[in-house]
Amino acid sequence: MTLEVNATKGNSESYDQIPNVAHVEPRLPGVSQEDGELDSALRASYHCRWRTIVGVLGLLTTLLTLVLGLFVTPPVQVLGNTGRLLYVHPALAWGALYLAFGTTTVASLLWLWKRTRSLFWDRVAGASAEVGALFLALTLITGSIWGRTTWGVWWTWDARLTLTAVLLVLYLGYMAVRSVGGSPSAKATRNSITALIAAVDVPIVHFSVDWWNTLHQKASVLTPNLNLRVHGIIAVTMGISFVAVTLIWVYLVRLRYENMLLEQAKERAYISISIQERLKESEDVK
Amino acid sequence: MLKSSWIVFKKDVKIEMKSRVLAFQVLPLAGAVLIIFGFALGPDNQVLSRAAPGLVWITILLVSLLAVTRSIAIEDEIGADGIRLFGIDPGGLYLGKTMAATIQVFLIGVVIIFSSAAIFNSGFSDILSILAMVLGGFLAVGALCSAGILFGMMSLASNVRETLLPLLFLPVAAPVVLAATKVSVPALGGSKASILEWLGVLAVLFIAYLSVGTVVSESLLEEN
Amino acid sequence: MNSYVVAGYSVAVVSTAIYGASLYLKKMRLLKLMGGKDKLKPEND
Repeated sequence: MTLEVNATKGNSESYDQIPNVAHVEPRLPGVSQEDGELDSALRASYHCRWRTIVGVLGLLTTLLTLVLGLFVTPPVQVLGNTGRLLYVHPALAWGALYLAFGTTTVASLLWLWKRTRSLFWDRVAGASAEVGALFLALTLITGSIWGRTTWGVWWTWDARLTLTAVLLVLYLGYMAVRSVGGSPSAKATRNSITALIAAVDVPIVHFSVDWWNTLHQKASVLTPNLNLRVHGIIAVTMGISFVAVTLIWVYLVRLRYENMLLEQAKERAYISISIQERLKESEDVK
Repeated sequence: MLKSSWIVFKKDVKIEMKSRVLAFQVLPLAGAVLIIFGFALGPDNQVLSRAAPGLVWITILLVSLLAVTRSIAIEDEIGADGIRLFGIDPGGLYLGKTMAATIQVFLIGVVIIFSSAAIFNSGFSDILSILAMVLGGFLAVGALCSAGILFGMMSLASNVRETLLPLLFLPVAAPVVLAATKVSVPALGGSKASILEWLGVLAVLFIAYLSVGTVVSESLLEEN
Repeated sequence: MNSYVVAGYSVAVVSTAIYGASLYLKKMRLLKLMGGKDKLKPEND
């Protein structure tokens, strides 16, 4: 039987070619530190029950946001019915720009710092960035829809919009770096450095586009004198939408994290199989 | 670290003097890009001279990307293991390669700017603005190369491929290009507003990218 | 109700749901490949 570990990635049909993964002793000769870490992480994930609770709560708050946002709340003043996007767009932006980006940055630092170094942080950083990229794309899409109705354009070269677009590219670049091969710890270092450079870049881009705008384009479209008075049911719904996005984010990050663990275990099993086969071949030759 | 950076710098410059890849391949390419821009925007002199600073900096961005790729390709043969084996300090290697790339791209950039002033009919204004543009240009090229060589070294230590380098490089280069364009506007006949601030932005960018690169290059090449 | 609002809400909800579902399905597939959830259960528990 020939093994093509790389070719099987992401292709459900070719999984069937390796029917005996489940019966393989998933350990290489000479247990490395990374192996031990993976084992204990897998063990820990077996006992994880809070993810389901968070998921159910996230689903409930999302439903509540939908009902309140679409049917219960009055049209927001000045913005009218379009103002209902107030319960989607800011919460997604919070999830992508602060929650996810912050978590990725902190987790990357925790990997680079020798005293807290653990592959756990690398997986958290990656999972968080992936969910963050999704939320950021949704922030841009919902913002664009909102912009179309309020300013009449899908896109404008406003400072904040430009920063968000650059950030999305940074996220995508980070995810592309994550997909490059190597040993888990070499990958983790590379990923963390990329995340760190992105984190340094964000304030720089922020200030430069801010200046670019304020210096050359008197009025920014995102600071119209709307004087929104957010209160009562509107404030409550906004608050719930933030809670919903946070819970969903936690749930998705945890799920993605578990996927990463299983993928790593699968790759280890493949390597184990191929080593055993080579050993058997060499014995047959003898 | 400084000693090995000087050795690497001299080596890179010497290789370029002998191979002339940047002078005979990248520089003509930059000229072709400028002419293509001219075709794309049409022969309207006003449009061309207004767009000139931006076009110039997009071209220089392209040149620095090629220069970085070239600079890393030089080391590709011995790879990260070889570098460790030779006992070259990674920080020194980073600084040396960045400086060599900066000088080379800067010289190409000067040629690009002067020829664009001619072919886009933007002309030059006073000497002070030109000096500011040259200083800002050096800082900008330095920032571009510091970021580029950093990502390039990342690709050296792994199999990050050529297609990934631009994706990582461009978002980091975006603020540099923005500030550099602003610094070049007055010299190419535009308004002089806030040129000092943009020079400051470029200096901060250069220092930030260079120091991140120097600190981080150590762990990029470390054995895992 | 206005169509922009509906579009905004549904694109956010639907794409997040698709992403979540694909993660879940992938997890199930990986678990099955590894020989079921019990395979992960620590033996010395």
